[in-house]
Amino acid sequence: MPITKGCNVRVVVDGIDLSSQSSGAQLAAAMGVAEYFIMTDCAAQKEPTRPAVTLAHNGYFTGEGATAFEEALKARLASATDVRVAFIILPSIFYLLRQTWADQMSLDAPVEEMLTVEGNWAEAGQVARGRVILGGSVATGTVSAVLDLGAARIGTPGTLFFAASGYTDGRDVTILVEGSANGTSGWSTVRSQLLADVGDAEFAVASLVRYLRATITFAGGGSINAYTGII
Amino acid sequence: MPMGSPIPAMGNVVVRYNDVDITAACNSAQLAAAVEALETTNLASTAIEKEAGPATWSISCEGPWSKELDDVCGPDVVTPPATKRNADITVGKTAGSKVKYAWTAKAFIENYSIDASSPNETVGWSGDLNLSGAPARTIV
Repeated sequence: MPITKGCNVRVVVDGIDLSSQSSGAQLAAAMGVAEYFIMTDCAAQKEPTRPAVTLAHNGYFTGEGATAFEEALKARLASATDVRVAFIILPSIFYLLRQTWADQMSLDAPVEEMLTVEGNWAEAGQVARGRVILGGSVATGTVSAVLDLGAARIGTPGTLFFAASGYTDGRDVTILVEGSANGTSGWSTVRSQLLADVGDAEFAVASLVRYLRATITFAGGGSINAYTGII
Repeated sequence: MPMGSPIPAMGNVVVRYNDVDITAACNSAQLAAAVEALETTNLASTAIEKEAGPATWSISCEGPWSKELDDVCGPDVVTPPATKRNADITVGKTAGSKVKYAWTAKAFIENYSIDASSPNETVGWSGDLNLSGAPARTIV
């Protein structure tokens, strides 16, 4: 089993990629357990109930701003509206916490060290796990590697997750997801999703083909951080 | 009773969950059985008296995270399985003297954690295989 370095992890909050301001994150899923006893076994019997997921998130204070880590936490502290947090481990897996709020934050100022911010995202609903189709810094028109969903996924429903973060000058981003039966030809559109320069969205897919790939398009040169996955 | 020599952990432990060998994703594993003590002290007692109560079993694991490991644990964390999984741990060096604790359709994942707390280190994981009921202990 190959290892993965921490520098391959990304945290995206409401479409804002906070990875470049983050020093670490830890996803913890504590399963609820119902314990009971029966006469025919002297050991405890157990059943899983539901997971309770939290994401500890640490980073740096980088100044005031809507896309700054400190502001992202503060603006969503005890938020009554749903906050979408993606914990992405490139290039393969992501966990999507759809109904979160920031349940704690602290700003630490140790002398002779960096200003740091510590936070925690608490999940109200059930967490989703998905496969990454495209992720990271991409240039306009980048076609992601072909993702093989496996034969078991053919024809089943799924959810596409989109997030884009980068420019703050108002340029929109389009993420095109295409599907193919054989992974080499016959590509057709599964979903074309328009996002603001900072934003995310989900789209339900009624039926899946086996192979998926994604392409990013935005006005202007350079690159942007974009993430697409299938749940 | 003859006692054998101590056995190093490396290469001599196998952990499986849902019939998948996750040993390569573990750098430590701990089989734990906690027995609840039932107090039976009575008026005739001269000290606190106890009897052994039910045992609760678990296997705690941790190590380097990988997609392959997550493919085993992740789906069961997101959606607990309707039917619990198989799990076993085998400890020992030579055939015929290895001890295997096994649970059939009695295991599920608890306290699954993916630790990416440092960008310059490997992503780690930890989790418990929570085990319902008593194991079957065999020599393999």
